[in-house]
Amino acid sequence: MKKLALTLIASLVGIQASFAAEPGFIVTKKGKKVQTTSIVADDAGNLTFSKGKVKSKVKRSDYKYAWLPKSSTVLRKIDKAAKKGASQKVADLYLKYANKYKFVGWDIYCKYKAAECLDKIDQTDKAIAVLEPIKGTKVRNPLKKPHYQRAMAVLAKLYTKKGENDKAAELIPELIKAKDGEIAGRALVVQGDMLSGQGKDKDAVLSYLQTVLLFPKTNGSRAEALYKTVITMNKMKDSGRAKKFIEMLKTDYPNSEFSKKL
Amino acid sequence: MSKPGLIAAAIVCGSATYSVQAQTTQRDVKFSKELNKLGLTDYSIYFIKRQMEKDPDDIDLLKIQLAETFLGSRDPKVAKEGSELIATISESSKYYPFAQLTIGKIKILKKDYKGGIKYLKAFEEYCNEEYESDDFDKDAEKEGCGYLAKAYELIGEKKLAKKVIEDWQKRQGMNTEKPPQLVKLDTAIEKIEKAEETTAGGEKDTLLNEAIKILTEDVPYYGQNQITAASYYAAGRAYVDMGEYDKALEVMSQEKEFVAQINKAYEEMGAGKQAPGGFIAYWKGVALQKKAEEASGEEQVNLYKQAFIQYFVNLKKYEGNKYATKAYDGYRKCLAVLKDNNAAPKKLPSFNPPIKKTRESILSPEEGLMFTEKKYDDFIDIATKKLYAKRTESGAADALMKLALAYLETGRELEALAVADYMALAYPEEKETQAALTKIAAKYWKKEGSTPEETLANKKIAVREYGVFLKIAPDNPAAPDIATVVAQYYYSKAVGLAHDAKKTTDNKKKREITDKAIEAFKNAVPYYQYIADNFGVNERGISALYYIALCNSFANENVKAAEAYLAYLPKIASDKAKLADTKFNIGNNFFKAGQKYNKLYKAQKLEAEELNRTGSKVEAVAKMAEANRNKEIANTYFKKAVDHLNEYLTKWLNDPKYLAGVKDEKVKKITEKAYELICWSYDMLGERKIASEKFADFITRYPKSPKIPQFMQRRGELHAELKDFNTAAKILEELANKYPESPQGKRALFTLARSMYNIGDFRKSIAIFNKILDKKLEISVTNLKWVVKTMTKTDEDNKADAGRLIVRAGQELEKRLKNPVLSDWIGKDEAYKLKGKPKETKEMVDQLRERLYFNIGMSASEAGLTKEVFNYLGKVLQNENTPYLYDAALTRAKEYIKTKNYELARADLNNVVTVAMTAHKILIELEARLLTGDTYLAQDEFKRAYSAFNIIALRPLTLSKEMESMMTPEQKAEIKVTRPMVEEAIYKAAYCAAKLGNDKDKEKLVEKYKKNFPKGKYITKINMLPESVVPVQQPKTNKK
Repeated sequence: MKKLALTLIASLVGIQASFAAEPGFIVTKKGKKVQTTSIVADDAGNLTFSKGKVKSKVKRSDYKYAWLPKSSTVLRKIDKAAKKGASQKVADLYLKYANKYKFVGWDIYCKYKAAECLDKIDQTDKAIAVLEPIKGTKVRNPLKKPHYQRAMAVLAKLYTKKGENDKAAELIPELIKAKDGEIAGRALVVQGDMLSGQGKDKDAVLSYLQTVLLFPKTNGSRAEALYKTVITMNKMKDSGRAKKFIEMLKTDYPNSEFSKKL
Repeated sequence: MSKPGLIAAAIVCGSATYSVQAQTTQRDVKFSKELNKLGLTDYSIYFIKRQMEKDPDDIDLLKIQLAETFLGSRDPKVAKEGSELIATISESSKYYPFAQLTIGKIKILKKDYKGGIKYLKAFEEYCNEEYESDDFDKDAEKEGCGYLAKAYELIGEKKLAKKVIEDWQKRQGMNTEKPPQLVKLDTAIEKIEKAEETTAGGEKDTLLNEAIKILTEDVPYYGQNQITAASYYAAGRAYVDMGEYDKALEVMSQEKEFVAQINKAYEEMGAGKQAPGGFIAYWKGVALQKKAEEASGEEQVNLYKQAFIQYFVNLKKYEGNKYATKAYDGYRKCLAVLKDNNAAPKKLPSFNPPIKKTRESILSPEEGLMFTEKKYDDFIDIATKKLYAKRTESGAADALMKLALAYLETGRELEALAVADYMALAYPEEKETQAALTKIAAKYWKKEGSTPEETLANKKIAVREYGVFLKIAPDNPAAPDIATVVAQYYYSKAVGLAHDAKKTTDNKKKREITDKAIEAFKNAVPYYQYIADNFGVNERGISALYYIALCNSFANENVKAAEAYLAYLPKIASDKAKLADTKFNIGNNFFKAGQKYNKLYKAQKLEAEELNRTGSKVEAVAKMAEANRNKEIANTYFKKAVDHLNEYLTKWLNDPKYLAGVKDEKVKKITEKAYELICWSYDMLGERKIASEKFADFITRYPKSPKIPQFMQRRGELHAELKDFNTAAKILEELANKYPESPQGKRALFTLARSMYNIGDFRKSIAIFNKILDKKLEISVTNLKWVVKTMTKTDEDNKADAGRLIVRAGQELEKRLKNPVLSDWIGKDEAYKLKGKPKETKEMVDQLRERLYFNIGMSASEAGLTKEVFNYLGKVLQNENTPYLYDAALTRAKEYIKTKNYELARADLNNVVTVAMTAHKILIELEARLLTGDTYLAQDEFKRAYSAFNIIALRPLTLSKEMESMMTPEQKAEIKVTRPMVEEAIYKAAYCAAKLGNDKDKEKLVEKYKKNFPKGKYITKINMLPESVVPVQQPKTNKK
């Protein structure tokens, strides 16, 4: 009976879930989207793909972009290794597959993941060197756009870490517009830090508050944004109103390092 | 929505261009709205203006948002600016529908429902056009239709309101057909709502019973689901309305697991605020609160606690639910009761309080402008008239605030204060009330008076107003700063008074100022507590904790002080000196708390002893039980002091985490104090042996301490108390030898003698005192007085020796009285009062001398020193008006009787009888008469003896009812207390009558005795009265 009740609720609010795997595809120069079951690219970008049992070839000059789902690559395994701990080996693996998957949509992903690994093992300069060439790339595949934005977010963070704020500042406006709340939220915090450094405290607070108020509690940068809102508002002697953000931080993130700092 | 603007525009302009720019602007607008919701309108305005400077394509959208922000302001000028700004949005603008939405919304908020409907209807028409819409549009559409439906509802057009919602639901593709189970639930809720509006008892009950029937019988028929869960709250609500709170709680507590699953499902859908759990928590809170209101004592407090928890669950877990505002009211009411009963949680749980809806002012914009333009007199005139009629309407707070401020600005401060106080009573939760109070307080705080007293009086008014503010608005962002100001005001005042008290030499005045200082310290505590509760984690909060401890300590609230220091301790781990000081202070305050209870114990013990002496045995036992309870409490605190000090001295000093290796001079000094305090703590705890060891330990550690003589003295006393006389004598003799010039060294032997007395070894005590007097060792007036006063109480064996000692001590005191240092005799305060008054001083010395003579004379009597008795009591009785007449004369008379000086004895006794009769001291009179009779008996003068006894024997022993009704209670009591004396007198009179051969009187007296005292003291003797000593006269006979 109870199970039935829950089903009813789910149906009322239209909860739906799809677990179907996303198929690969190729978008031709003419804009036609060809669904595939597998794609293999050579070094020059020519593709061999299969559709059912039929195998076909397409030249680099004949298609706009191609996409292979992550489940059809080895990237999940590398991601797993990266989660266990960053190392030069993992970074090298990502870079190797950046080349291999260049024409099927995963080159930028591999590069920013490699850069993250390198940064974690204190090779920030090398990490920047991996990402800088991507800057300004025109991404035609919409599925790759989040990768690009994430790559730029990582690059902005690395620039800030190195004190190259001007370079970071160039990247921020685009990142703030990102649909991905994680990227936009992170970018707004970085922007807030830069503005605060320039003594523009009110503008800084507004940047932090955008992360606080526009993104859900699960956003990875929100706790930090709340903390920095409080610190900056206190600096502006607006501690009375900062109090509600202290409460918000303590309620939403009771175990966060930022909560403990206040 | 946007069917109107955005999407249409997107189709025209090309969706790619639209999406990037429009999405950014939409996000900006959403952000601005969020800022407004949090009351950060200044940030919101700054942000939108900044974004407008970038001149984006969709600047109109930003303009509309800015206008909406302005229009929401209560300042007419700002609102006007908003109106002007929104008017710049042309009909051709793609965002024109949003402008209409904003205007319509604001009009409704300002209660212009019809005006608002006009704009929102136009907006709804755009929504009905068929275009693709995004989330932003949908949100706007939902908001607009929500406002429109509400406005229709408020003007009584419920059908139109329903249609707006149904149309909106259709556009969203929702199924508007209600399931039958929901229809049943709605019907039941409608009945409950109707019942709540009904005053007629019968109709109300009918409606509620019908609702309960539907909820408990019909709704469950369709199976268990979210509607069934909701029916539990509805049934609970109906039972609450019927006053059946237990049933309400029962129905709302059923199927807990199932309801929890439903709640979880709602939360996962992001619709937690609609979950039945929130409603159930609120109505459970109401039921429990109602039960609490009817209960009393501990049960009442427990019920309030449970209600408090339910309200909290509603507010925290189901934030934003429809009962949140009411739950918040209930939460605060329960909290207030719990605070009054010291049962509120120390740390309040955190949640976001529901945002109060703004109310439209009763003032028109023009009237508001009058205030803004500082035309205060005109404004006061208009506002008072308007408020006279509308002061209870919602929206009066704004007018009242402005009126208070207008009074303030025009110097009519009393009126301003009166209005603000009224607001605090009538509108405690309105921000206008809070603003009025703070503004008035701030003005008084800064106001300089023409004299310092006047400035102080202004500050007092400010503090009072701030106090009211903090009481009604503890959550206001300004509250912490205000609490700090008030706390510091009281603290500074207290410190100032404490300094004044220190400087004052007049003890009475000193006490008065000290009391005021204590009061100020106590006043500061709640404010510091407020800061600590709200800012416990930062520097301000930590500092407040310290001040709480300090103020409580100064105010002699030692347990509270110790607890505050305990709370402060974990926050200061890095500062070693503070750490040591705090730990010591915890011990010190527990010790002082123990002392307080110990003092109480001693006083009550004395009272119990006194009651016991006067025969009130039952009261004495009760008093002693009370005393023992206080002793137990005292010991608990002494034990706590010991524990903390031991931890300091044994653990902390050896642990690098705390104080090991710390070279700080402050820490060293505190450590020395801790070593000292632990001695006294063990001492007070009655652990004499350990206390002595600790005193010895201190003496070894700090051989140069000026406190060593004092500690040696106490060690000596402790060993005497332990009956270890050899060690006691050894220590005290060492004290006398090593520190002969110290006060303790000088009185070491006295201390020993007193200790011996205290443990009941009177013989040894008397011997040591005699030794002091023999050797003419230094002994103070106070100590001599102690001997004279205390040595009267010894045992039978030592009574005579003690008497002789008292005479010696008295004679020593007599010498000192020749040139008296008055403060030694009557204390510093009284001596100070007599300064420069020779006449009064002489009178005082005479009184002291007389009392001394009396004491010596009385003690001499005890000791059998007849000569001294005559000498000293003779001196006392030279003064005809002496207050010691009765005791002195009676004692001397007895001494005369002892030495067979009957004439002299009778002279004293006659004197006593005369004075006692006049003063109506019946017991004394009778005692003197009996003694007089005894003197005659001793001289075999039976006739005179008979007369003396017979006067007493004639006193009534029983009363007729008639007589009894005529007597006062005092007279009746007198008969009772004199009974033993009358008994003695009857027997002795009968004895004399027998001796005189007066058989008739003898028989009468014997009969009276037997009748009244059948089991009396003399019943055997009265049956064996002697033969007559007077020859019996033979009766004359007539011989014929």
